[in-house]
Amino acid sequence: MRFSTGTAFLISGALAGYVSAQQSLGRAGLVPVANELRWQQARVNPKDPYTVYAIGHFSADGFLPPPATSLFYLRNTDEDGNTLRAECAYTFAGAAPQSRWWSVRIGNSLDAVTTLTAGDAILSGDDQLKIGIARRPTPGNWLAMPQVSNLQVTLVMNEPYPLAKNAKTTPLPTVQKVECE
Amino acid sequence: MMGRLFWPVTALFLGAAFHLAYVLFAPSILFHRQLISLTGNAASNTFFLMPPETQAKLVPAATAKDIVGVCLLDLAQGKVVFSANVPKSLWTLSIYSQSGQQIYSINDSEAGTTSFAIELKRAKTFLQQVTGKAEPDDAGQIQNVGWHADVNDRQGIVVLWVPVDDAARRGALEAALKSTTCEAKG
Repeated sequence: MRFSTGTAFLISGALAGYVSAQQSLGRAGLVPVANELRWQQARVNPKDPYTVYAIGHFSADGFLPPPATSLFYLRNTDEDGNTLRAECAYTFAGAAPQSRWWSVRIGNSLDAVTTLTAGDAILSGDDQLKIGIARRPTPGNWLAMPQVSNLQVTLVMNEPYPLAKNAKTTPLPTVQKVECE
Repeated sequence: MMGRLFWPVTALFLGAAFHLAYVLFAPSILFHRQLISLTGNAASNTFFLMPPETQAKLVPAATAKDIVGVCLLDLAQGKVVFSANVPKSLWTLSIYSQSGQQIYSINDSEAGTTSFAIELKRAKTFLQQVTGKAEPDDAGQIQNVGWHADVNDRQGIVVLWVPVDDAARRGALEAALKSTTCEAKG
């Protein structure tokens, strides 16, 4: 079968439109966090003229967009910039999230998620939160490491206090690698 | 010269059309498919609690430990009244349009009550606003049910999220929420 020049142009035009749409949706809805290299914030800014892309980013994965009353942070690397791996253990540490409710999760975006919420966690006396993320139980707060690929840590602050919205005054927790098996 | 440019320009326009069509329509089709798989054959305008294992796949701010109640709105037949009975704890009620845009949100501290109603109706289009007759007695037709919200689309989703601070309280919280209703009022 031979394609004419016109057909080749039309196919490549349609393909370019499809690929660019996929890539635009994949990148939309995630914004870098000021002063936080490793964290990204998932959000929909209704004043943004490209809101349709941000909403589409979540809808295409079957999710409702994060509500405006929540701060939704995620990362897939440790402090050294290495991708999170299921065979490693990590420490999630920082100031307790400044919100009325919060949750920390690890897993991939679809399944195999383990969760620790404000109702389960033990804070230290100076209001610090430390969570061991590992396959085996760790002392204090523990998140079981799911045995999946494409791991990401998610921090959701529901009903955050005004201070929490400023990353300069309230830095986000760190994720430090402890060891790998 | 013009002949040489015809196919590249046509390809450019076709690419832009594909791009826009995909961005505008594909996400809502994929979302609708996921919604059906998560909610099964749940009827429209009915409030129900989602199974804990699936709720986080729809509401990203929720975990399996929380309680998530949902009403799939269908405003084609007219107004829908969402009458909430919520526990005395943290909760958030969000209303999303069919396209996934959050159009209304209220929480426990803003509401200041554990029992309230929201009347939801379809927003008038720009054309309806311009061409429609003035409704002199519109204010008189509004029933005194509580708050009101206009939804841009024919369909939408109401999500009531309640975190559970103690697993032993889950049953009591669920029982409190089950008296919440979502009904079409014609």
